[in-house]
Amino acid sequence: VKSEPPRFLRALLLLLPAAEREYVAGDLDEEYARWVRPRLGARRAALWYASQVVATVASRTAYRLSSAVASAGLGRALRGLRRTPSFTVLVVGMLALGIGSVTAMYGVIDQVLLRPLPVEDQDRLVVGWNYHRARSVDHFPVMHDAFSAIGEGVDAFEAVAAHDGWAPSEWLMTGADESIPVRATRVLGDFFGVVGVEPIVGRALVANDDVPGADRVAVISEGFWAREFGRSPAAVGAVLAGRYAALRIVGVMPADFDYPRGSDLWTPLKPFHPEWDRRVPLLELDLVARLRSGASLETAAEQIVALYPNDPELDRIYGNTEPRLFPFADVALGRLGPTLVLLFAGSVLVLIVAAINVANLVLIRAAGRESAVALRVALGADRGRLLREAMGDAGAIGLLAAMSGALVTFLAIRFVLPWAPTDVPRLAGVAAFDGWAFLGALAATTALATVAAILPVWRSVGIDPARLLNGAGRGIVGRTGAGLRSGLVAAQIALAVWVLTAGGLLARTVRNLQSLDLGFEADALTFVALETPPTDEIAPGLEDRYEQVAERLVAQPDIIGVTPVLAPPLAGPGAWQTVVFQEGQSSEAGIQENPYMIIEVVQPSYFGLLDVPLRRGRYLAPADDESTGLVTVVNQLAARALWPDEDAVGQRVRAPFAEYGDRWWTVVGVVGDTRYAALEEPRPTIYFAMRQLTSFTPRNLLVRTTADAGPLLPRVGEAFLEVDPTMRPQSATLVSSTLAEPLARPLLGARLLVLFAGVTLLLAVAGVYGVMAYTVRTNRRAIGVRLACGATPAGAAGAVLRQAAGIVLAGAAAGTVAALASGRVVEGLLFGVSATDPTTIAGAAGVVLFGASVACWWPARRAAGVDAGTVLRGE
Amino acid sequence: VPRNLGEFEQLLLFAILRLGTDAYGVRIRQEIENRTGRAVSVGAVYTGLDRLQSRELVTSWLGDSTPERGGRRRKFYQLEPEGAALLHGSYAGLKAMAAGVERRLSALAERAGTSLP
Repeated sequence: VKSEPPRFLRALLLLLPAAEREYVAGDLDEEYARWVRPRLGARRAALWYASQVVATVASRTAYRLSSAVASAGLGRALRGLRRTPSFTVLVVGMLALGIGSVTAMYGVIDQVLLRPLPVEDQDRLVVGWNYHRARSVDHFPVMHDAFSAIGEGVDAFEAVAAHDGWAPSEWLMTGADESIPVRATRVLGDFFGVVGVEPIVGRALVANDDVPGADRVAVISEGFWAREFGRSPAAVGAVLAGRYAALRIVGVMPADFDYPRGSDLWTPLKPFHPEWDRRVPLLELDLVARLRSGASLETAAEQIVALYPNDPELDRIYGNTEPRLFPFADVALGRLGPTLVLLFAGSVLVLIVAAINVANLVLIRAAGRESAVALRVALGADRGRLLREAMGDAGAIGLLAAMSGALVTFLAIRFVLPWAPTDVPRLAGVAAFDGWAFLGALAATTALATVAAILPVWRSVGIDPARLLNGAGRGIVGRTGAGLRSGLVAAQIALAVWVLTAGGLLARTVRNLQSLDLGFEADALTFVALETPPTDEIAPGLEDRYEQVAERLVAQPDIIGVTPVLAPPLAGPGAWQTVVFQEGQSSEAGIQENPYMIIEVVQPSYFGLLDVPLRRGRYLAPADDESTGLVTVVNQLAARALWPDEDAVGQRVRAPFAEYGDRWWTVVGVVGDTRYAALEEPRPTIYFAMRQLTSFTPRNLLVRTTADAGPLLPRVGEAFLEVDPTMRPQSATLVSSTLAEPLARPLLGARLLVLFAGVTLLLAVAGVYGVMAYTVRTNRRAIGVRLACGATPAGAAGAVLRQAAGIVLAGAAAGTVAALASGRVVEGLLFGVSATDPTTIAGAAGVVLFGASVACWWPARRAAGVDAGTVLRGE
Repeated sequence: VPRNLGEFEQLLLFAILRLGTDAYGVRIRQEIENRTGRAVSVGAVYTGLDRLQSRELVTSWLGDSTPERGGRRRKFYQLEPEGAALLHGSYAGLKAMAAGVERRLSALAERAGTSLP
């Protein structure tokens, strides 16, 4: 029986000091031979031995490192680092940047994206609505009939609930004493049961709350609880009174639960409709469903599509739609995933580039030490001791990098994060730094530093002491990893080009979005939402009263104009929309062929106030009222879609509004396209005069003020108190701030990625400089010899530049190829610029090349300045 | 220098006491592993012993060797009076704390599904 333990495992014990190795290895061998091997058999004995060796080396090394920190071991390493302060500052600073950016970014990703939502089994939770093919409407809500059919007929769903589409909506409610705007979501069915969220105080809503005639109850968000009730338990039981209902609060949801985004309050829907059992109202809903375990989104979607043909009524409405189902987290977190993953990748690249620099610097230092190491080996030094010293160096670097990395992380979270747009969910919760991410980044960099530090000891194995002592050793210096160093620098250049391209593309996306021609003037324009009675309780003559309110407000010096408006800015598919029919076209053909158009019902002051340009004909005029012929104004998109080859002015259309179904509207004007409804692209829009079309009641005002206007809400409130006390303003929002919301995601991406790109570029330039400067320094002799043989200083500098150019150009080419090839990764985040945009890629490569040439210039100058005489005498 | 003993340090000192003149790495490790059922590496044993020795609670010397050890010597340990006093003190404290509640403790522990070895 062979009773020797596996040799390669015992080799690991070389990491222990020789004196200790004697009795430790002896113990392991003895126990192996006498007890373990006979009892366990060869395989399991080898396993035992391996685990003992690994555990022993690890625990002894950890012990030694910790005692080294406490006593002289690390002190020696730290003293060594102090002797080369520029090296230390560079290495530690770069590692700290890399570690800090990765740790901070991971903290963000973990907080925003990875941390589970406070719902049950979130992977099986689905949110859904419809996509309308014919009208290309992305978010076409589900009506109640389809909701019922889906609840009963879709086997892939375990349970289905719903909430108002476009929720939450803003209500004005009265709490203990004052009116407060409340963002409310009405929920249908066992919403909280399906979602599976536990209240932190009181109870959640249950299916029994959602029946007609039930007690009016609500649960509130943690944020609302803190804001309005100071987190008092007395909030449960408090009553919020609104125009339509008084709601008793029964519970508080956890802070993490923010769905639909921005909800302050959730309340059952059916009690709003006392006649529910007899007449189900026309409701626009978004589905929230739980998948049966094992079922997929695709199966559920197929089953929904299969439902419609069975019911002619459903088929008529939904025949042209396809369900859009999303994982709950995607909708709840606003689909930030790709941006954050890209940013994390950016931070990892910063770490990689920093680590490459450190490896290069350590390699350079190691190369300088190689002959010293070889000499000590030749003189009989214990190689294990040298190895431990090298590891002590790496440990000291790691320790310093850890401390400064933690500082960078702290600073990043403290100062860079607040720079992010406020719209990112859960971002506020990013606390200190993530310990595991920090340890991970630290371990990776320290491992690298260790490898680089022990390399010279490793290489000293093959050195012949005699050769070294004869002076031949000088040849070794600088040769260590010359190719490796060049390759690493080229890789840095490539990464810098790639990150800079991605940052540039996102920056251009932001610029494209910011510089969009809105088609109207959004500056100093405020959207005021009004709280009004139900339509049939509004007294006739609302147009006149709106005009009187406008007159009162405009009399104030800082208010320029006021006009009613139907839809809030960027309502998107949530705005009222319709199809119109042309002359000689049947309703069926119109529905099939004509575009879905946004309806705006306005007063003539609208166009002037928003500064919407007139393209053809005339605007709506004060004289267009019930006594004259029905007229309408369309935007250019609508005109082009309906009458591609004719003048739109003078054309007539029918619109499918009750009481107006068979009446003709004459187009009197064509106005410019605006991005009021959707920022990404203008939509076909049709404008009606409020005095002529009474089917829609504008319940909002747009107010143009001077730039320094005071608060609007109280003044609008006073005006209504005098003119129509049944109405009051409930919220005022700057249109420009609403327009800025869709910018949040690209802005976050662009800002951080440009920051990462800047850091990467700096590091890469530093890398190029370091390697070139080192090359020149170690080749002084060769350069001196060439100069002595008649080479010109310019020629010497040119040789340096040529060498650098080879490395840098190869890197830039690789980076360009990588940027072109990985376009797909960023494509979804861009607007108005292609992922492979040649200008951006060329620009990024250009910036990197410029930085690299600056970095090479100094070493080249130094090569040109070498004095042959001095160098040769020195030898 | 701490005036108390960690749990593992107590185990080490007891093992040395039990083994008498046979107290070296392998035997100490086995003694602890066999009696407590706890997996211990040689490295952990020596790290604990290093700490005890730096506090002068134990002393060590290099002794004989055997062919299985490839001629490498054993490192033997012996309990010093200070170590014995400290161990005695901490064990007495433990015993005093356990007095009268051992049965209740094992009954409670059984409920957690663990039992004493």
